[in-house]
Amino acid sequence: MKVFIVTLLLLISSTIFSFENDLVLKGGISYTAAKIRGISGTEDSLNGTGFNTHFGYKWVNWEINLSSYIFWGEAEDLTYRAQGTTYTGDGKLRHVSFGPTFKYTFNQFEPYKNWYLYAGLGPSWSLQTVKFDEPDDDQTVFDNNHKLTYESNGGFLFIGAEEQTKYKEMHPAYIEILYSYKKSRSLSVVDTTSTTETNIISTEESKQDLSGHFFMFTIGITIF
Amino acid sequence: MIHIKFFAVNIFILLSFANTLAQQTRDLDVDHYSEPEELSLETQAAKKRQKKYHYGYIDRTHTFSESAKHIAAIYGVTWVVYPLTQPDVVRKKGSFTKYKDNFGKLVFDKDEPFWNWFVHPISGSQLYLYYRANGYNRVDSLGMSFISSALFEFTVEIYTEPASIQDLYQTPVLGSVLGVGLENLSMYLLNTGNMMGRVLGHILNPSTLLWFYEGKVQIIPEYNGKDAGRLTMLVNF
Repeated sequence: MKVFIVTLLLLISSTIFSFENDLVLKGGISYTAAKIRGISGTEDSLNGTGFNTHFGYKWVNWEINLSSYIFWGEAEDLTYRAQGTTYTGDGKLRHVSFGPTFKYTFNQFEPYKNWYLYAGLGPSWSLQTVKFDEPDDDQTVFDNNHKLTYESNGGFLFIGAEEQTKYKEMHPAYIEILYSYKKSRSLSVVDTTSTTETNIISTEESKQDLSGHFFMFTIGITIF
Repeated sequence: MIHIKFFAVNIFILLSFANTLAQQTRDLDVDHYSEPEELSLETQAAKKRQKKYHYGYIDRTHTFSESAKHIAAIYGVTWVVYPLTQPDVVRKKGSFTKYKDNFGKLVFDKDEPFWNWFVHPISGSQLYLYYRANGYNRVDSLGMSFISSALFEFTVEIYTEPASIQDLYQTPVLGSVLGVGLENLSMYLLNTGNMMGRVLGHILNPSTLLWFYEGKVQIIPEYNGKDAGRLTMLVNF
């Protein structure tokens, strides 16, 4: 019996789970659903599409990546505060997040052939840009030649399933659901009249003026 | 709550679509499927244009001094290209006082999408293709692109603005993703044997046109006129 168990353990431990000890670049597309809060209790539920990239190192189960999640959406009826004034309006939202992510793949959970569950987390630093649409009246200091850019802090939590292949050249795929919370810490008002030059009009503290919950559904592959 | 429901419904629709697609693939009537006509080697060869060269990539290892020379060469080029491509920005916004102030700073830039989503990934893709042309494999090309763009961000561009987090990440990473696409497309075009294909391939991947490109293999077909043929391939590196 002992011999059988030892042999079994040896066999399990020597089975190749997937490629390991290698640098990887992954990329895919994302669908985002977010609830964003402005000031004065205003909030907006928005959706957006974008992409995600990850570059890092893979051991057997552990993986450390530098990750980036990007999406574009449309923010409506949010109230913003900048340069001592408030402004309620619509605009295009661009969101970009970066951060190191720590991921663990559970080789005990194989819901589908060669697909294994994983989970991970990491801190995030992000930039949310609101580019205003044409305002209904001219009573405001902001118009479609201005954008507000919020620098935010937060974190990522994600679960997903990824194909485990013997070689990374087989381009294993992944599917992931990510939750992220962010709140702003600073705000810059930028004049966008020129597309080639960046003209920052002002920068100020903006603690919690813009915050939000983000759910992302992402799919992608190992590129190399 | 409505928002989460909407998200869940979208995922459900996506999964249902994937399931329907898989079902349709399984339900394909095999009787209607016919094997493609097998072509002889002669017919296959006759369908292709004659070409003098085959374009590809030959990955090899590099010494430390060789890699240092590449980094130095690209670094030198960035000092020349930056003021040439952005003369107004360098003249109006640049100064050595600013250089000193910006040294070691790292910020989120507030640039327009034209720079962050277009110029930087394209620059990164050309850096990646430069290193690929010099025999670096894909991962090493990304790593070398990262070093080159970091040097530019931290020691060249600070003449006008501080180093940017987005540029540090997006130039090599998005650049490499784009670079892989350009690599595959340009190799396909270069190997069509068609002059227009070659021109387009070189435009997309200019490093293949330069003296350092290591993947150009000369193909010399020989035939004795009776029953034997020979293919000689010459590689310069």
